[in-house]
Amino acid sequence: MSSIESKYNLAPSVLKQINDFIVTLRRNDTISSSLFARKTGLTVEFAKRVLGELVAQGIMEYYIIVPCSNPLEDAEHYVVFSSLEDLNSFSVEETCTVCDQCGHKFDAINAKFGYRRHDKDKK
Amino acid sequence: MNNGYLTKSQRESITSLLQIHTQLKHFKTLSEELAKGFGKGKVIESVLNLVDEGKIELEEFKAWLSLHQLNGNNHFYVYELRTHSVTEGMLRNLESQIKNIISDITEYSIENLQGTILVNFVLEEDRKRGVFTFLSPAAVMKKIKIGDMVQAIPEKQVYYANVIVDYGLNNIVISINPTANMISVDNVSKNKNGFEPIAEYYLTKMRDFIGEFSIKTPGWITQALDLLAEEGTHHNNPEVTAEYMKAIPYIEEVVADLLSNFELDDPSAFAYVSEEVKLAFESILIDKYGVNEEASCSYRVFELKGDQVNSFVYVGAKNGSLNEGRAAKVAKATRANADLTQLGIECNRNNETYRFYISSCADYYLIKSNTTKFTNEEVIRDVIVKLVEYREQIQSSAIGAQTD
Repeated sequence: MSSIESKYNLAPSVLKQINDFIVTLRRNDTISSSLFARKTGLTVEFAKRVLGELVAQGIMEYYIIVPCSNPLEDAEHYVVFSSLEDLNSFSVEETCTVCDQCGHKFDAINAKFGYRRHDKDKK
Repeated sequence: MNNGYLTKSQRESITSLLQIHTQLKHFKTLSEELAKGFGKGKVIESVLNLVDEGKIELEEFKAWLSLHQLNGNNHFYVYELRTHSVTEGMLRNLESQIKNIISDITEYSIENLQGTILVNFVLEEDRKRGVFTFLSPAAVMKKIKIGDMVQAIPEKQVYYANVIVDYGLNNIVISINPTANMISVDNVSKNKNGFEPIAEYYLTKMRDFIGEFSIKTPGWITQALDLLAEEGTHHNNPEVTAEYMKAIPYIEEVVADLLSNFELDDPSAFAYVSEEVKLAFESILIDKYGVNEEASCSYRVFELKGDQVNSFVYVGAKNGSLNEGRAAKVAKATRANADLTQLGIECNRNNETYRFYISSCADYYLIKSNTTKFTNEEVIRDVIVKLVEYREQIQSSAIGAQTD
């Protein structure tokens, strides 16, 4: 956390707010950058940078969730990647295996980043 | 009768446009009396006769013909401009230069419309905006009954779009009709996000008129939806607030004791359980003391969708709004732990009730009715103004604005 403080010249009260929010996250709680921004009073763009820093420090971890392009509302399915490298090596030409019959491709443009507390116990 | 104002082909083109796109309620802005007429065909004929007789000025009629589609049942795609690149001065200059490229709306039908054309531009200085009206060739799938069989065949149609360039609110609003069975507009097809590519087509088209501009992702919109949902569902009852504030230390003490007895000392466990108990307790207080309807916000929330990246929650009220009861508690918990990606709101204007959805999307936010009810554009504009007020509030208080 100290590197965030020095890198962005954040007031101790802001740092406390960030820390107080992170410790309230449960193991399975996933947050977006906009929820983090709302809870900590940061702008969304700035929240993304702070989250990146928290990932680099091993406090948080991220994953990427990509929907398939099924046009039916709420009928889309998802594939999850644990890193950008994994996402980049995935072919967007692959079709969704859940909606087998419709064969929709994955929609990388609408990928979402989720953040959660780094699970140190995870093997 | 034709005494020279409108030619036969103009009458045919206008009649075709009005038959396809215009509802009787649209005629109210032209003439209250006409709108009470029986049957759209007769009303159209009466309108055209009034134009021919000079009782309705031709230029006034053309302006109405262009702008009347702003009202009705449209989708409003709101794009936020990155900089204040559009000004009143710029639009005023444009107004004097644009006349040469505006096509006469009465001259076009699906027979001779080859591509998208600009048919009207109006600068509304009082509202700090300019409105551009376009006509485009479109293809729709029509179902035709042949004997006992129903066959779908593509059919050409003229499509309307209004683009509002709002230099006061610093956004561009694309107002288009979600025509059923639409295939494409000027060869641009819908995608999984519905009419989004068509809205983007008109947004891109605007560069021909107002020059280069860039769009800013409205990152604030999920927070604005949260504020609107909070205001729209708040109990506004000081008795509830007072009792709730009194209860908080007790709740926290009880939760801390409970968790400690089970050796659950993680701060996240305390936050999780105490949040749930507080919500349940507040819900019970609302049941007892009630919601103060008189002090309520002019918008009520009937549905919301929360996105927590790997999960989503839909909550809705079938009758009434989400300000009391179990669904309200779930809605509040959802708002606290997820981004609102869709909010269903209801409002009353001039003794009419309107319901619509506000959705946050990648580059824009979308406001659309959840019924086919005729909605004046002013009702939608009020919602945009409200959201922009929240935007100002969020951006003025957020940390990091200077580094973005």
